Amino acid sequence: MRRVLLALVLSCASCVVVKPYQRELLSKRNMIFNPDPQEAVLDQHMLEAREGAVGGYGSAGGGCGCN
Amino acid sequence: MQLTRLLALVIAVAWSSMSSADDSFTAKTQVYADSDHTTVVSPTVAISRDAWRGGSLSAAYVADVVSSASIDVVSNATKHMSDFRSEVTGGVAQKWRATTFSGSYIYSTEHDYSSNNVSLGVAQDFFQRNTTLALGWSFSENEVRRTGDQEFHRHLLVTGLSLTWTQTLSAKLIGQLSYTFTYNDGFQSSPYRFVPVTVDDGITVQFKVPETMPMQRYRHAAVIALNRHLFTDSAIQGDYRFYADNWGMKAHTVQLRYLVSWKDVTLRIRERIYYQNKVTFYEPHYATPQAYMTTDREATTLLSNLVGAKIAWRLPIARRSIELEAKGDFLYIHYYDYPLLPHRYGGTGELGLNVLY
Repeated sequence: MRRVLLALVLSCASCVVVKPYQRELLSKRNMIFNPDPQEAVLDQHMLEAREGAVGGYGSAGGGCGCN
Repeated sequence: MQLTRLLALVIAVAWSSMSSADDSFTAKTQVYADSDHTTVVSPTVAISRDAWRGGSLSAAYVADVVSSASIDVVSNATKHMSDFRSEVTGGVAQKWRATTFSGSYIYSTEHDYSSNNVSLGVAQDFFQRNTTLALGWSFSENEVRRTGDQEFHRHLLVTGLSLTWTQTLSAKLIGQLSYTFTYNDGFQSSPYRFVPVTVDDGITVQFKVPETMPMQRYRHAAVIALNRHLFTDSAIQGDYRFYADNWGMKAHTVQLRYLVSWKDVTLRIRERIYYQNKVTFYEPHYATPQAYMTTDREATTLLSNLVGAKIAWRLPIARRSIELEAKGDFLYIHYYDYPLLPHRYGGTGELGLNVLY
């Protein structure tokens, strides 16, 4: 099952190949998933102190998150 | 003393990076205030430097200056609390062919809590950089103390694993799937929170007992994200997160961001909606003592909505690029099952400076 899943992922990934010269739009700053890591840390720390869920968006730093 | 040394390291790396190329320096201050009488001021500085061929160093410092007279604080017989948290981060990354190795260390301390966090990661590009798989591991050792009680020491260990698959889907579209597993083992209650046991009317308090949470928590989070380029220089980003843990909590998060750049100005608007159900052992009123008891509002059923905007203005000066930014977010939280506070309104403002060398 794992091998089938891995094969599926690899075949799916390999069928979409954008050439380097086609990457003009993809290379723009607005296309980065996390363009400002410092802002993301502050955001996640604030939200995780007020909500029960964590994870999925990267590190929120340390501390108890009690405030 | 340990913090002083780490701060000295941050300053030393910052100073040494001033004359190097392709480096960055960031300084921001964020202020959070809400209707529950809580204010948090968070100044932060961060630097990164291309230190050698394929290798980079980074360092950051964050402080939280907290002042609160929230309902959670007041209901535990304290009129007001204030705290100061310092966090220092050091990181290193090394690129080798299509592989990037990274590692970081975080030390965070406040008067009744300290934590040491180590994380390692590896990312591998495939298919002409159209596919990236990243694997991450983190470990955190936390010490919990209680003000005014020298005998109170508790420990919490947190281990995390993450797997991220980023995929180019077309010349205008990128997708990302990620999964994070976190295992908490140790003290997860508040050392200050006491849970009232009431008579049948749910109001008259018989006595109070210390909050008791389970010692183990297994947490799973899966995120699917898409980033699509639109006309001229704009993009729309969206993601959905599903979260579940062994305390019975399930949560859903939906985020949408629109970014548009015009000349040297970039504007971002965003909306974030979050919903969670309560943990299985949370009750607004306990009639008898239970094995696990909490009045933590973050453990209740809640809905939150964040709406905000950010504007950044890039000023090309000589060979450096200086960027000024301002951000404002509005946060609303509705607690479905927390009688002391059904609603909470808050706002975040931020001013920042980014310098690219």
